[in-house]
Amino acid sequence: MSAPWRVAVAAGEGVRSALAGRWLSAVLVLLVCWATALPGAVDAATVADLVAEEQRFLAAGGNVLVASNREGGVPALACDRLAEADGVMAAAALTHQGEPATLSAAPGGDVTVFAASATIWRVLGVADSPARDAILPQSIADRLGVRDGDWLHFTRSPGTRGEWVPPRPVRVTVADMSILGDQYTGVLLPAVIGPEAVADACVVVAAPAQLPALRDSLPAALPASTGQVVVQDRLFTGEFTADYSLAYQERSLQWAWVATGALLGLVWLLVRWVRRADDALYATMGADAGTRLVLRGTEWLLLAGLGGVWGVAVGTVVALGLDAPFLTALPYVARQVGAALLLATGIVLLGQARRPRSLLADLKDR
Amino acid sequence: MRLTARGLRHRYAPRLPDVLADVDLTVGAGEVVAIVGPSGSGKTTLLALLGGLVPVQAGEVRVTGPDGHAYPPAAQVAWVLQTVNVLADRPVVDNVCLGAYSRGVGREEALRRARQQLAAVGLGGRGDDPVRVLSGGEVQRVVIARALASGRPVLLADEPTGQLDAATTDTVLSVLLDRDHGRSVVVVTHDLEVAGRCDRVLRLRDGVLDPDRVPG
Repeated sequence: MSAPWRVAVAAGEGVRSALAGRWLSAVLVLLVCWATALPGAVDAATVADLVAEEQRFLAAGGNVLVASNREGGVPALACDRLAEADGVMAAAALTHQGEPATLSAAPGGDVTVFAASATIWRVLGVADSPARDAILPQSIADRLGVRDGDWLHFTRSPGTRGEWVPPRPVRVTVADMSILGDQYTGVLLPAVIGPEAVADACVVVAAPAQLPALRDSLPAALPASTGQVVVQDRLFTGEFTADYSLAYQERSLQWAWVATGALLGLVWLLVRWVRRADDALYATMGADAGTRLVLRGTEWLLLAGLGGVWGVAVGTVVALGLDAPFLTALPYVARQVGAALLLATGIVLLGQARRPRSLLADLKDR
Repeated sequence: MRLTARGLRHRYAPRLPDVLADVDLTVGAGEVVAIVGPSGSGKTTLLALLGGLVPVQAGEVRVTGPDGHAYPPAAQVAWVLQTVNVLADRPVVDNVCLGAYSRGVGREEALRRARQQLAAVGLGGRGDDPVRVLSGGEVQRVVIARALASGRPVLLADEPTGQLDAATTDTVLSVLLDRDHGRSVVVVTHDLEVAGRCDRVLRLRDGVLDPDRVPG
């Protein structure tokens, strides 16, 4: 008398079929591995390039906007409060002091002095320190031999009134000010601009994706009593012209898993057609459609799983070879491999569920 | 189990003539019936209809137990086909296990039964060899062992000894046609020696099955 196959037996038969497949199984594993690994690796490398490029863009101040008003200035309080607005990472008011100062340790060498609002620390990405009274750019510090935390004594430059020169020695923080550009490179005196003051300019560090919106909205956010607020990009050289957010969204290989998954699923269906006599044999041996689904599903999952694990490993190594960092390579490769295999598995299961046209024809391989 | 076919009619395409026309057949429990006939007379088609490999277009096929209960034919039939249907890359014993799996047993029990049937067909020492290294005759014996391992009450065989030498044919037939197991057996054959060892021989001619003779 006949009885249904046990599920464990069907799954075991699938495992044995995969192991006995030898060259066919090896080719399928290699196909799964490389077909998923290569798009994943190239996509990861593309993302890594975009991230690196965006980092250079940000480091150069590409996400910095400068709002100024030649006639009426910009309100310092409104500028500082911009830091709480959507898409704004930091904002600070700056005013050129009009007269340079001289360092007593380097007589004859004038430095430009800017007053800044208290939020300038955040703009520069430097820890806020009430004990520090001045911020010196790295370039000037290197030229004068000044180190972070040194005490400096500023004196009046010849021919100036010295109105803004600090009367006592001040302790300086040395910081990278490249984000502000050459226009605002000099000694910064933080917290000199009070909330009620009107500054020359408002420097805004924006989230890159929000730059276009902020260009439009900043004039309204910085109301001036007279004159017109003009917003300019800190970078104007055109060195960075790419829209990284758009480039990320439109990268060509992000959907490669659809083609890869469809390809793998169709290859498996082709293999199934070639082996239709085996499936018909199972059917005559009492393996019903559900049993054959478990059997071939197990075989597929074993081969696809093995190929997928290798695909993640190989894809990650290839991506590393394309200069993608590990923490970018692994998730992007794994995503491509996983998505492709999920789609392929869906196709495999759907195809396997299809009833054979004729068992007799299948048994005779025709 | 009794195998009964009534009014079987079959054609492969609407414009083609009937391959089978109103075929009636009854094979009693433990009975061995041979079907002979010229090539292309529809013997394999009849066998496929009896075992459910091809859907029945007209008429009916029934497998009934001693109590009169009817069972689905496909689940009660074991096959020995003319075309060699084996998993060539798998060990011999795995192929025979397929038959045992259809009895709902686990792997260990299937292996035990498979080795038992392999010994019965003279392949006791070849269980772990891959099928692809076997000769044609040995492969046919694997197929027969697999059918026997299924324990199904109806056995349908299409030229089961076509690739065997005389000595092996005798061994295999003694196993295949063993009446002690109570199997109902239908054998399609050109071999008069095989037909001669059956209880009845039926001739299929022009799609019609004619009773021919009762041997002995």
